[in-house]
Formats: sequence, C-alpha cells, structure tokens
Amino acid sequence: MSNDDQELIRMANQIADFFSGYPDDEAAAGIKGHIHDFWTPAMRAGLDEIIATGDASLSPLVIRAVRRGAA
Amino acid sequence: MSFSREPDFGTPARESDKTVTLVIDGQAVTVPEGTSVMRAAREVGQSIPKLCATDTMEAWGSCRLCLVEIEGQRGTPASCTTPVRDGMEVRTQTPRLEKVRRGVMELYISDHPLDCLTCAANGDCELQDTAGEVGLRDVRYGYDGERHHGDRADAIDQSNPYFAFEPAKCIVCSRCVRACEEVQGTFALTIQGRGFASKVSAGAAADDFFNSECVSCGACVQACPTATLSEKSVIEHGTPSRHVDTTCAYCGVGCSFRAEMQGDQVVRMVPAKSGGANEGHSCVKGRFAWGYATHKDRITTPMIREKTTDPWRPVDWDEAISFAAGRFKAIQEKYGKDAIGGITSSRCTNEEVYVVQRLIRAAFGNNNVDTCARVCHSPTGYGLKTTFGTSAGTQNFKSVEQADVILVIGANPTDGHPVFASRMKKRLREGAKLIVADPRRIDLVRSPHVAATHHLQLRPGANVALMNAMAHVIVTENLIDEAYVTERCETAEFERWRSFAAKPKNAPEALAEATGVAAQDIRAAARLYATGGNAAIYYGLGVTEHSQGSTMVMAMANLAMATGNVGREGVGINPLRGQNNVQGSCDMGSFPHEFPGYRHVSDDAVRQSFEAEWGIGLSDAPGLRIPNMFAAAVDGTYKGMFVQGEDIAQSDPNTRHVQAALDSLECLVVQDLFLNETAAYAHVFLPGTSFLEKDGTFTNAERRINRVRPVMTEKTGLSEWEIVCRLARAMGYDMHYASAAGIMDEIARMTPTFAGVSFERLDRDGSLQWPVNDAAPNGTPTMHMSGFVRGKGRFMITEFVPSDERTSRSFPLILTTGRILSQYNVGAQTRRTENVRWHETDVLEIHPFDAEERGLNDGDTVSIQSRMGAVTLPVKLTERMPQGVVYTTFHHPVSGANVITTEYSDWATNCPEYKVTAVQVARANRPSDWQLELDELHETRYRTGGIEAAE
Repeated sequence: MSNDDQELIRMANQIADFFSGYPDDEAAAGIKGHIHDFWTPAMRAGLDEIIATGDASLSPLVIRAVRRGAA
Repeated sequence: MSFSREPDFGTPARESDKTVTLVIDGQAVTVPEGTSVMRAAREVGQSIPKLCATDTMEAWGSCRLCLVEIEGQRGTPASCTTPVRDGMEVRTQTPRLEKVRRGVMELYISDHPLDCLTCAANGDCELQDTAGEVGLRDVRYGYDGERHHGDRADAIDQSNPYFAFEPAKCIVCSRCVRACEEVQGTFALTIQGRGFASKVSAGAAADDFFNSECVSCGACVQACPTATLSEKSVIEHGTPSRHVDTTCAYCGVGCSFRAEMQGDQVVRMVPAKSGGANEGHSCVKGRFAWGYATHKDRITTPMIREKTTDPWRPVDWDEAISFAAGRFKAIQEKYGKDAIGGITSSRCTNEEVYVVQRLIRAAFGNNNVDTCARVCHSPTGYGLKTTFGTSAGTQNFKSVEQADVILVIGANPTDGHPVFASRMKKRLREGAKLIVADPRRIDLVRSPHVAATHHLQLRPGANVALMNAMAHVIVTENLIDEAYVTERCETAEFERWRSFAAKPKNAPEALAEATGVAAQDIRAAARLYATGGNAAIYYGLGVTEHSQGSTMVMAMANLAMATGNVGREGVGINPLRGQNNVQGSCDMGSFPHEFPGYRHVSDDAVRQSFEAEWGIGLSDAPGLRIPNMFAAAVDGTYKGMFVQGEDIAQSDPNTRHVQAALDSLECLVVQDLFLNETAAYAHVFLPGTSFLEKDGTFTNAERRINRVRPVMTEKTGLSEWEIVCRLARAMGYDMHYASAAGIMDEIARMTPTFAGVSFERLDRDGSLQWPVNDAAPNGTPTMHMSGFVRGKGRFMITEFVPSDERTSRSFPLILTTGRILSQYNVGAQTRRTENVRWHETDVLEIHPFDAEERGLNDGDTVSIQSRMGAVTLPVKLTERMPQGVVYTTFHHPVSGANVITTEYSDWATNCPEYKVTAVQVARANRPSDWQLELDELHETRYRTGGIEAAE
C-alpha cells in the first residue's frame, strides 16, 4: 500500500470517528457528504479502490457510508 | 506643509444615553453625561492649554494648566477633571486664567533645557506649543534647574533599539506611566522619588528600558508631550512632513496606523486613534518593526533558473513571466490539467488574493488553490459555519468591554495579539473574571493587576474532553439558558447534545485523567462561565491545530449557545486570527472547495455566476488542500505550484516531507519579499511588495475591512496583482484590472457579504465589518443578533477522540509550539529588524523536574527528537511549563521546529496537529543532521549569478 493510500485511510477513519457519535444513518450521510465536499475526485477514486481491495484498516463506517446510495 | 497629529480632545469620549448642555465661552454645547469640560470645549473648537491630559487616558489633573472659571463656582477648577453639568457656564480664557497659566508654565520652563532648535521634538512638542499658547515671555527664576539638566542631568537611556529616554526633558506629567498602565496594561514604569526629585523610572534602580518589564509597545513615546521619550527614527531624521493612513501587516488584530513620512521615507508609524481595532494603541511589531520593508535582503528583480541547483539569473518581468507560464503549460500538457495549483497568502491584500484564486480557477482550470489558513484557522471556518452558519468570529474587539467572564483557550494574547490583549486586560482590571485553559502558565494567568480566577492547565490534546466536561456540568446542574435555546436553536439537535453531554463518561471526574485538570476546577469554571453574566470565549491556534480542531470549535459553539452567549455585545466566539489578512484570504475564495464568500464549487448557480463574470468554464470538483498537494507531489501527480507570500518550507509540518514534495516539482514559482526557505526549491522568483507599497484592503479577526494605502511606489515596479494578471495572460487567459479598487468592485459584485464595500466607501467611512449589504448597509459589528445566519443554531455531538500522537517510553514528553511578542511567525520580517534583540534564537522551554531527570541545566544545548526527526536548541528551565510538556517557538529557520512535527491533522480540514508531538529531549553537542543539511542548502541554493545571497 502506498503512503498516499495510508493517508487516505487515516483521513477517512478520522472523519468516521467524528460521526461515530451520530446514529448510523446520519453518520453515513455525514461521512459521505464530507468526503464529497472536501476531497478531490482523484482522492475519492483512491478511496473507492481501497474499499474494492477490502483493506481491513478502513473503518466499516466509511465503507458503509461510501457504498450508501448513488448520491 | 507642517506636520500635525491626530486631534487630542484631552480626555476620553464618554458613552451615555443622557446628554448634558452647557455654555462654554458663550457657546452652547451638548455632550454625553460624564464628559469633561476640557473635552466639551475642544468639541466646539476651544482648545484649553494642557500638559498632563490626553484623550487616550483618564484625566490626572496634575499640570494645573487647563484651569477654567465656572459661573457660581469658586476658584479655578481643572477642566480635565471637572465633569460637565447642565446649565454650566464656563469661561476658558480670562485675565486671571491667563496669569495663572503663565505662572505655571514659567515654573515648568525654569526646569527645562532650552535647546528647542536642536531638540528632536522641535515642531512636535506640546510643551513648546503650550508655552506659545499661554504667551510665556520671561522666566523670572532663571533657567538653571541644574538638578534635572545640564551637567547634573541623568544620562540618556538608549538601551531600547527604537526609542530614547532623555530624563533631562521630563516634566513629570506621568503620561508615560499612565499610558503603560491604562493603555498597555504592563505597569513597567513608575515615578520614583518625591517633589522636585521625582522622575520617571523603568523599575528597579539598575533597570534601563531594555532590561525592564517594558514591552516596547510605544504607548509611552506616543503619550510624551516633550522629547523625553522620542523615536530614534525621529531623532535621526526629524519630524515627519505628511502622513498616510494605512493598516499594519502583522497579526490578525489589524491595527490602523498613520505612516508618518518625509518624502517616500517612513519616519515613524503611529497607531491611529480612529482605528476601530486598536483605538490608538500598538505593539512593538507594528509600531517599530517595519524596517524589513527596505532591508538590503529584499529582492526587487525577477529571477529564474532551469534547475534549483543553478544560480539564480536576474531577468526582466516579461522573461520571468513567460518562463513561468511556459513551464506551467508544459506540465499541464504532460501530466494533465490538475498537475498544477497554488497557495494564496494571508499576508497579502484581499485584492491580491482574489486575483491569485482567479488565476488558479480560471487560467489553471482547476480548484487547486489553498491558503495558509489551512494550517491555522481552517477549523474555525468549518466549526462556526456548521454550528452558526458563518465562517467567522461573532464580535468586534470593542465587545470585550462588555464581557463579564472571559474564557481564553489555547491563545496567548499578550504575545500573539498584544493590542487586543491590552483591551482585554483593561476590562479584567475593571473586574471581569478570567478563565485560562492552557497547558502553559501564560502571562495572562498572573500579571500586574490581572489574575485568572481559574487556570485549567490541561494536557495538550485534551481540549474537547475539557469542553465536554464543562458541558456536562452546565447540563447536569441545570445552567442551560432554556429560553435562548428554545428560541434560537434546533430543538432535536439540542436535545441530542444535552443527552450526550449528560453521559457519565463526560463528567469532569470521568475525564480528569484525560484532561489532567481536577474535576472541581472544571466544575467551578463551568459554573462561572454559565452564570457570571456576559461570557466571551477567545481562542487561538491552541484550539485549532489539533486532530480534533474542528470538533473543539463546535464544542465551544455548543457551550456558547447553551448558555445564551451569542448574538449581543460582550459575548461570543472570538477566534484570534494569526495573520493580518487570514480572515480576508479565506473570504476571498482561497479554499479548494469554495468560491469567494464561502460558497461551494459544486453550487451550480454560484459557479455559473463566476463563469459568466470570468468568461470561462470552471471546475465543480474540490481541488487539493496544501497537505494533499504535498502528498500528490511526492506521488508524482502534482508538478507545478505558485506560492504567494508563504514560506511553506519553514511553516508547514513534517519539514522533510515538505522538502521532498517541493524538490519533486518541475516548476515552483515563489512570490515574496525575500529569498525565503521555500525559494531553495523554486525555479522562478517574482519579487513582491511590502505593505508600505500595497494598495488594497486587509480584513482582520473582527471581519473589519481596513484600507492599506501605499506610502511609496512599488520597489519592484509592478503591483503583485498586475504580475498575476500578466501570468494569467501569458497562459492564454485574458485577465485585466485597471486598479485595486476595480478588483474590489468585482469582489463586491460577486460576493453577497461584500456587496456594499468599495474603496470609495472605505475611504469615507474608515472601515466596515462584513456582512455589508442591503440588510446591513453599515456593516455588522456583532453577528447573529436577531438569529443565527444559518437560521437556527445547530448543536453538534463532540465525542472526545484522543490524538493518535501519544507519548511512549521512547518519546515521553509532549512538544507544543507558539509565538513570542517580538517575533512574527517564520520571522522573515521581524528577524530583519532590531526585534531580534529580544529573541535572537528559539529556545526549548522545559519544567525544571523534567530537566533534572535528564541532567539538563539552563542554557544547555539539547536534541529534541520525535519519530519524524530531530533538531537541537538551547534549553530554558521554567515553571511556566507543566511537567511532561515542552515548548518552543518557530521564528528562526535553523530551529527547524517543523522537522519534528508530525503528519497528523484535523479530521475535517487537515489543519496540522502542530500542538501535540511526542518527543524525547537529551543533551546534545552538535547540530542535528537536518540542521547541517540546511547549512548546505543555504550555500548551494541561494546563489545569484555567481554571487552568494544566502538568507
């Protein structure tokens, strides 16, 4: 895994940590919205790839959030 | 044209709902109750002779010159200490008054040297002017006064680099002593001795000004009515002949100054009483440390080089710009449109910043624009927008005068924001209560006539835990302002927050270990905050520069909403902004996800409005943030960068990573005054202009838009915005402005919160606090008065998540960083002034117990090692530090404080976690490897056409 991937995982997990105080649905929406609003398309694509490879260090909340709906 | 000072009304203005009407020399005058007779007279043009009175401080009544006659009242009362009464009849000039005044003046002059023609204050001396006004023609007592001048005079104290103290000229009016107390709040000066032997002293007998408690703010010099305290620049050059009103370019207080000039040379900078942020006060940086603008190190010619190991080659503007444009275009052809970007500067004007973000969005064709707010107050923007709806502080500085409880968190205002600190200390001396939350015992905790009721000496990184614990107390002890919350906040979000805060895990007792603060102290502080009247939070980078920076901002907002402390004077959430225009650079669309006015790039209507204005299609996807830019550079997908007035190689965390990123770029353009640390990696250097050459505006921490006016022509021949426009044109995008005023007109047209702003308006009204629009045509000193900008205030759940950066056996101490009064950030400016005399090198502060454990003595050289790297610094033992925490400033490049800081950052904004780094400290006998490499870098990367120009 590249340094870049590790960085994306760390950032995504931190976002999930913040939203962990919210009910699952709201947390997922919050995480997805945050990543959509602040990450570049390339970073988002990088995260999609990490999810596709099933990296165990990524928070399940992030995975649920990104996979949630098409929006 | 002769020089004149700002008008002096003798005593301060009073605010009162009641007015009083009196008659002065036959003329009726109506003034607020509490006004002095002296001030009332001055307001109708009757200037009463005076020496000890000045309108920046309370009346003193000692000089006996301002006497008046009042109908029905015996004697000749002093007009400065006599308040107006309805129906009062005052005469300011009668034969009796004339005689008394002349007699008093005669006594003063009998003890004053008569070297007026060769005196530094000649033409700017109140004693001289007043002697003229009272018609002094003779001194019957002789001019001997040998106790105070002539051969027996005390020596001139030249110890301060910026001003001289000549005791022989002193008339003991106490204005300097009172300025130090009332205006600055330092209490460094006193009157020593009694009667005729009285004299001004900077403390103990052995103290000169430099070695005293004096902080060199200049208030005493400004207050002095004679040449006793004079700026050395005036002694050297003479009195100014004209002045230009402008704004300081140091911290986010944004003080207004009169640049007092001879020709195009600055003679002195004098704080403007009309300035909304500073009301006539200043600090050592703004008042005195402006010499960098003409320092010999300044580069005024563009330079380019093929490789960063080549010497710099001075060229003309056209060649430099076409070289930069050619490289940027080549990079985009080879690596794609998104392979370049840029950083705007919080040191530059709104107009300059706006033009750079337009360059990037329109000419580069992407949103890879970020600004140094990323590394300081980006969590403020995020947190306050989420909770209140606006990315800015809620108050003006004046609001502190109405505060009853002041909570200072993670800020050290007496060093970082000294002029605001003076305003705050004034209110504290009047009786407001102070709570300080800081790992260090900062000066505010205990200084003359100021003592914190609570110092919550928390562990670095435990801010959110502390706020949650305070919230727990407020919720469980029923200290909520229920009516306020019901009316102004979202109910469901509030109820959820209330349940969250009430959880046992958030009790101060449960969090005592995490915070390091005794539960009863937190409880007492929370009760005081909630019930002590108007409670205001002031905070700095000790809040934002954490992995939970944004959470912390929201946690503070929660607390303020829960206790009803937002939306009127005296309360609020007040970020103390680091740089002069950090608020403005954020407002101007410097973030990669936002257009000017904080509107998301994916907002179709907003984007289309900019597309129409700029005549080009714009990207709807957020661009790279600064840390993302570095990561992408190391990754090989980001190859070109335009850096406006920032020294990222010194100021950004994890220096080795930054250096690797910069070294991998194929085109780095640096626009700056000096060949800074970042310039070592640059291919193009575009010389910038100092604030003395700029035409534009800065926006301070109060959202106050202040004019910056040029006092001299650009030393580079071009304004910075013109250079940026030329670069855009060279890249094939047509960008033209006729003037800085024209840029502001576009900003106002495109940004709803700036709708009513123009240079013309600012020149007329002085300053405006945004929003300035149809709803608030005169600006908005206090936000959220009739409701929150987002509609209802939004409480957020703020779980405490400890930083991943933890102490361990290898790194048992926590390093935190900060600033000192005399130096400014990376020091590029202040290191090029006499301010270095106060702070020649960065030092590591450590508690004596931690030092003893390591066998360290004061002054030893130590190595500070983190998992990222190591540097060496001298060590200073001090009980200001708690055990387990060490501290340093980062003003000198060689210190390399950021070699040791980590890659960790705020979850929401990627603001670096500067304030928490686990380190070990040990005695060392040599510079670190990095420091040796830096020496080599300075030898190889700063050559100019064969001539070395190392910083």
